[in-house]
Parts: sequence; structure tokens; C-alpha cells
Amino acid sequence: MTISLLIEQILNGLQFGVMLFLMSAGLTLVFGVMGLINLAHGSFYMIGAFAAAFFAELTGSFFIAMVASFVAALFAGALTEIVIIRKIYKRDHLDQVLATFALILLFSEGIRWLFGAYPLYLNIPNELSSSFSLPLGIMYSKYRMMIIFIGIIIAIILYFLISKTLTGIRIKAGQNDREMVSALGVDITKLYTIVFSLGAALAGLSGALIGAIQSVEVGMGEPVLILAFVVIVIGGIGSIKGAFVGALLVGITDTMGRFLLPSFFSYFFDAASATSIGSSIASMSIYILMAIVLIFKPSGLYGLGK
Amino acid sequence: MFKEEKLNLITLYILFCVPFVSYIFDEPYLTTLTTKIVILSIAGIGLNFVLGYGGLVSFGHAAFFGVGGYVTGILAIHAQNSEILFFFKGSNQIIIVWFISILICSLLAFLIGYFSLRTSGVYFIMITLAFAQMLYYFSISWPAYGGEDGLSIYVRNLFPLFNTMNPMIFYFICLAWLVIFLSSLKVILNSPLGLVLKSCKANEERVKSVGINPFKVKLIAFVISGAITGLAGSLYTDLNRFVSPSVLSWHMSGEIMVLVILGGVARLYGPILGAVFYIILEQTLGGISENWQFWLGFIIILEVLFARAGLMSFFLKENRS
Amino acid sequence: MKNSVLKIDSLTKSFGAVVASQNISLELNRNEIHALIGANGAGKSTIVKLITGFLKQESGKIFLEGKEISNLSSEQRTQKGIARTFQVSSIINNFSLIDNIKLSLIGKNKRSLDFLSNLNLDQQAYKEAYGFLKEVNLEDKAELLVSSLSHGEKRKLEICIALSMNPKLFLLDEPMAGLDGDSSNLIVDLFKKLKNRAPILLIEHDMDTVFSLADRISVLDYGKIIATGTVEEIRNNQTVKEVYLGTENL
Repeated sequence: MTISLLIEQILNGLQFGVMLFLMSAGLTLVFGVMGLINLAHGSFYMIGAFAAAFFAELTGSFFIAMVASFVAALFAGALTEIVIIRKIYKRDHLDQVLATFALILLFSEGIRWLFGAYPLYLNIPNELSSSFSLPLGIMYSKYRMMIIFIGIIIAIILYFLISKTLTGIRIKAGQNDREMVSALGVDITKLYTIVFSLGAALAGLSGALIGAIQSVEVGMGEPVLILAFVVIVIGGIGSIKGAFVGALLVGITDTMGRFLLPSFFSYFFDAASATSIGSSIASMSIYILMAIVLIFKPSGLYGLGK
Repeated sequence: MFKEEKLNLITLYILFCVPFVSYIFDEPYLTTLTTKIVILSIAGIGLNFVLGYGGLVSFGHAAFFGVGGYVTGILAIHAQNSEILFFFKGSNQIIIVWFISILICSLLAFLIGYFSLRTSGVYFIMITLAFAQMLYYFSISWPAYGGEDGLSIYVRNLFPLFNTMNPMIFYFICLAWLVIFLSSLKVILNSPLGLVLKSCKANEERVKSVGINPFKVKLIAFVISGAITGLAGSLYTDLNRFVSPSVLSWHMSGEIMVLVILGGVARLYGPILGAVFYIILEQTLGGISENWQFWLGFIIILEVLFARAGLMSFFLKENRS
Repeated sequence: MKNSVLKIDSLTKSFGAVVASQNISLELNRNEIHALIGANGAGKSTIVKLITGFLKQESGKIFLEGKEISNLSSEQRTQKGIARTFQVSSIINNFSLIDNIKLSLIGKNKRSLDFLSNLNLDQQAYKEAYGFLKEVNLEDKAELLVSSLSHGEKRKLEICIALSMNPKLFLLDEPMAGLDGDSSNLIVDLFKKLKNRAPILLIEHDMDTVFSLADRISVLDYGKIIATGTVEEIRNNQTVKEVYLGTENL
């Protein structure tokens, strides 16, 4: 195990974390501002990926594909919010879980009907398909590096959006006291639609970005959604900062776990067993992390304690 | 609630008659299908205990269904291949398998409940989901028991005197468990713990203010719930003679929850109606289109928006609140 | 001090920059009704939560009959003998009256983990619960659902629940809220019954009730206790008058 391999894995962990952040930011905002648990968030991830694949095929431009993913998911989010989500803000969590679970079925089968059962292909653009050299002789994929940068830039944009703009302040206020914000004359309905759609768009973008590395297929969003849940539980529901920290923690823990645990176990077992034991435990590592965090901080690291 | 009791008895009567009807019409598939309904009902009844009566929205009950299923599969495989597992040769004696499944699922429910019940609301939903996912990924990556391809067993586990491979016999075994669980839950719901559990759903602060620690009560309920759903999973493996990671998936958790809600929460026999409805949908719509779950989603949304109290209330034509 | 049932010693609690309770000290002695009054926002509900254990104090201690309870959970404090009523009713609406009382009896008799006995067939539990309902004249409505009760009757039920706990003290949190004159009088009669069982710490807004019932009064203003004394002493207290000048007629 070399230092360069280690650093490469850390970078992978960062990239994974940053992508999780894009997923989690929307989720935690929606919960913080509207008090809504949304299982269909993973569907927006999928919609973004499919839109990107479709438009990449159509136009040949990766950039247009990325924009398309953002816009498609934004639009899907807005439509969903207006038609269904609006009606369940005031319902209890069970109703919200059910309704959004039903939405997953709707979206998944809908996409399957539109695009068929086989995965689509989204290719990394040629300019980014090579690696570039970092110090210490590390070669790292340009594309993955770009994902890390995009993620950090979006985190910064979100930070400014929330803390410096009027909309952002309204969002923050809405997290603390929904009725007050509405009583102050802010158009709550529009605010909610904006927050929901923005979250969906971010999810769509992350789906598109990852779609180029993995495959674009129905059901790709749910595993990521559940990871996003773990991120939010660790970071604290309602907190963007928590989502960022939690996402990086989860990303790095998972990647390093998968990388290090099999090697660790090879000191005690033969190679084949070490790999299977190691990767099995690695697959549980982030949940163990979540359980540990919960023992000490039941509302997450930065939770608003709602 | 006289009317509800009548509906419950009618349901049981119909369930009892099904295998005879299928025998007369020479459609053994009907018996097998109804067995699946009964098993899913048991899973749902387990969940309904904490969800409907206790207000605990557990989105991870597939953990128990799946572990019950895998314990059964693993024990059977070891007995089949005569390999040693933890000092003994596995088992294909169904009663022993049941006992071990219930034991392990109870333990698992205790562990998961111990952590999850410290939280509430959305956190609880997410955490139960996360723990089930953890087990799902573990089952995929642990190579010894088939991984993603799953585990097949040749014959169903053995019950003394009766041939479990006979669909009718296996059906009545499952039906017997359904009746056992329905009766047990009736007893538990009428007990002091039952009243406290229902109170926790209504107002937990009130419970604390009369000197009761809600955590212990919820944990016991959660363990009972996990054991019941776990046994359903065990029966499911025997029914299909197959178990795979899909029984641990979030989709499975969602399915169990859907059939509980469709039938009507906090109605003891609700999950049975929900399971019937769900399987009918799967068989009819599924026959028409492989995208049938689209329509399931559509129906669920309609139900949530307009018919919240579920099928049982619909049949009893009671107030929907 | 053998006479002291509840002693609160310098409790402080802040929420961020807001000091909701500052050095609160208070004592409840045997056979007394001690009222805690204060305007809305003065910090009454914070104190109730601190006493009942729903909030943890930053500093200070709480003693019940001389023994410290500052670190006990809220259900433990109830077990030790604090019975409280809720300002916003917390009785369970879709239960019957008798089931609500049975619930508190389960707590008192420590039967919450019993999942085998049949509560519906338990004659003793029924008798015990019925007896308490009789004390507040609600026994003929025993099997009815709480949702069918009037507001005043719900208030009576709250007090009945507290009674059934056989506590060492009653903490009544604005028990008169939302009641008309007749219902208020009924509740006031109940207070006399309660006082015979255990001392009462009464959190109240309604001045008339307080002045007619209380043995001692403590006045809360912006998180601090500005005066404690008998009714006469409080009536004549300069600081209290200043604070309430123009808002209340003492």
C-alpha cells in the first residue's frame, strides 16, 4: 500500500462525499423548512441521470447534458411539489412516507416505461477522460477531480444563498418558525416550491455526474437516498453545514473502509476470506458510524433538535 | 366493536376455506398464492403492532423478515450439506428452525430498537431504514450464502407427521401461525403494556407524567414485533424454498408498510385485508403490464389523499378520521 | 426542614442568550397552596418543565422531601411523588375516561411492562379507577370517550388523574385556563380536596383565584422571583405593585 494509493482513495472518498452532499443538502433543507420527509428524492437523482444521458446522446455535448439534468430535475421537482407534495405538508410522517414511497414507484416505473429496462450510457467527455498528475506521482481522474470542484463550488454558493440573500434568510427563518414567516407576508407557497425544486435539481445534477462513472438505470437513486439519510442523521436534520460534514464523513469512511478493511483482515485470514470479511464489514461501516454518533448526539452533530 | 369482530371472523372463515375451494377447482396455485397472502399478513401484523398501535414508523422491518428468512435458509443448507455451523449441523426440523428464527429476530429487534428508539420522528424512520439497509448490503457481500443470487433449499423443513411439501398442509401451518399471532396480540393489546403503548402513540409526554418510562415499553413492543415479522420471513423461505437479499431490501420494508396501511392501521386484521388487496393487484395488474407498480403507486397516493383510514374502515363504513 | 415538600434552589436556565429562569428559589411546605404568578412570558412554563424534568437546569438543585431529584428523569420524578396537570390538556382524547385513569394507575402500580394480564377484565383496576372518577363526580361518564366531555369536565379529569397518583405534591399548571365562572368554581372546590391530600404548587394567571386560595404567593417577572410572601404581604409589596402597575388591579 503506497502513499499515492492512499491519497487516491482519500480523494475518491472526497468525491463520493461531495456527491452525497449534493443529494443531502436538498433533503435536509426540505425537512428543515417544510418538515417533510421525502423518499422520492432518489427519483430526482435518477431523473437527472436519465435526462443527461438522453441529451448527451441527442446533442453530443456533455455540458448541455449536465444543464439538462439540472433543469429536468428542477422541473420534475416543481411539478411534484405543486401536484402532490403541497397536499401532504400538514400530514403526519407516516402519510408522507407512504405518499413519497408511492412516488418512487410512479417515477421508477414511468422511467422504465419511457426508456426500457436496460441501463443507458453516459460517457465522460473526452477532455476529462484522462488523468492528471498530482504531486507524489499520483494520477487522478480529471473527471473525478471536476466533481470535487463542482461540489465545493455548489457548497459555497449554497452557503452564500442561505446566509446572504433575502431568499436564503427566508429559508432559514422558515426553518425556525414556519407560521411566523407566513404571518410576515412571505409567500410561503412559492418559497416551499423553490426549496423543493432546488433540492431536486441538486439531486438530479449529482445523478448526472455520477451517471458517467456508474451506470444510468432505474432504481439508481434509492441506495444513494438511503446514504443521504445516514448523512443527515449524522449531520443533523435541517443543517446544511451538518450535511456537508456528514457527507464528507460518510464518503471518506465508506471509501477508506472498503479500501483498508480487506487489507487489515489479510493479517489474520487468507486473501479470499479477508476480502469477503473485509468488504462485508466495510459495507456496514457507515451505519456503525451512524449508530456511534447517535449514542452521543441523538440529534446529529449539528441538529436543530426538531 | 361488534361489527369489526364480525368482519374478522368472516375473514378467518374465508381463509380457512380457500384450500378446499382450490382443491375442488383443481387449482393448487390458489393455495400457494393464499399462503403468500397469509405470510405477508403475519409480517404486516408484526409491523402493525408497533406502527398502528404504537405510532412507531419503522421503515426497516425487512430486517426482521429477511433475517428470519436467512436463518431458515442457512440452517437448512447446513443440514442439507451436513456442514458444521457454530457447533451443530444446521437443522431442517421446522420447529427448531422456528425457535431459532424467533430467538435471533428478537435479539436483532432488541439491538436495533435499543439504538433507534432513542430517537423519534423522522430520525427513527431513517435509522430503522438504515439498519435494514446495512443488513441488505451485508447479505449481498457475504459470499458464503449465495450473495446476490440467493440461497435455494431442496425441500421444505420437516414438520412431525405432516408433509410440508403438500401445499394444503403448509398452508394450514401458516394459517395456524396467523391465528396464534392474532390471538396473542389481542391479549397483549388488552394488557397494561398494550394500553401504555397506545398512549405512547397518542401522547408520550402524558405517559412520562404518570411515571412510566416509554422507552422500555416501546422496546418490548419492538422486540415482539420483530419476532412476529421474523417468523413470517422464515415461513416465506420455506414457502419458496428460496431466500435472497431482496427480502432485506427497503422495497420489502415499503411493501410490508403499504399493506399495513392499505388494510387500515390499528385494526388487528387490517394487514390481512391489505395483503389480500396487494396480492390481487399484483396478480391482476401484474398480468397486464410489468409496470403494474406504477398503478400501485397511483392507488397509494389516492389512498393517502382521500381514503386515509384504510380498507377495513371502508368495509365497516365507519367514520374516517 | 421537615415541613418542606419541594425545595427549588437557585435554578437557572438559558436558551441561547435568553435567560428564561434566573436563580429561582422556591419552597412548598406541607398543607399549603403556594401560587406562582407572573405575566405571560415571565417564565412560568420553563419552571414547570424544570421541576418536572422535561428541561435540564444549568445550575441549581431541586429537592423533594429533602432528597435531591435534580438529575432524575421526568418519569422518575413522578414515581417519587410529583403529580402535574397540563396547561394544554394532555388527556388522551380517543380513550375513555376510565382508561385514562387506568393509565396513571399502571404508572403508580408499576405495571407498564406487564403484557399478559387482561386489563379489561381486571376488576380491581376498574374499581380503583372508578373510585377516583367518583371523587371528581365523573363516574357516570366512565366509559365515554374523552372527546365527548366539555372543557370543564376535561379539566376535572386532569385533576382526577393527578389525584390517582397519590402524590407527595400537586403541580397544577394553569388549571383554570379557558373556564367560565361556574366551571371555575367547581375546580376551586376540587382544589380544597387536593389540599387535604398533598400540598399544591399552583401556576396561575387568574389573580382572583390566587388571592382567594393561596397561602403563599411567589411573583415571577422576566425569569426572576421578585417577591414571596403571604397574600397580604404580596398585596402590599412595593416592587410587585410597580411591576403590575397599570396591568393588574391589586
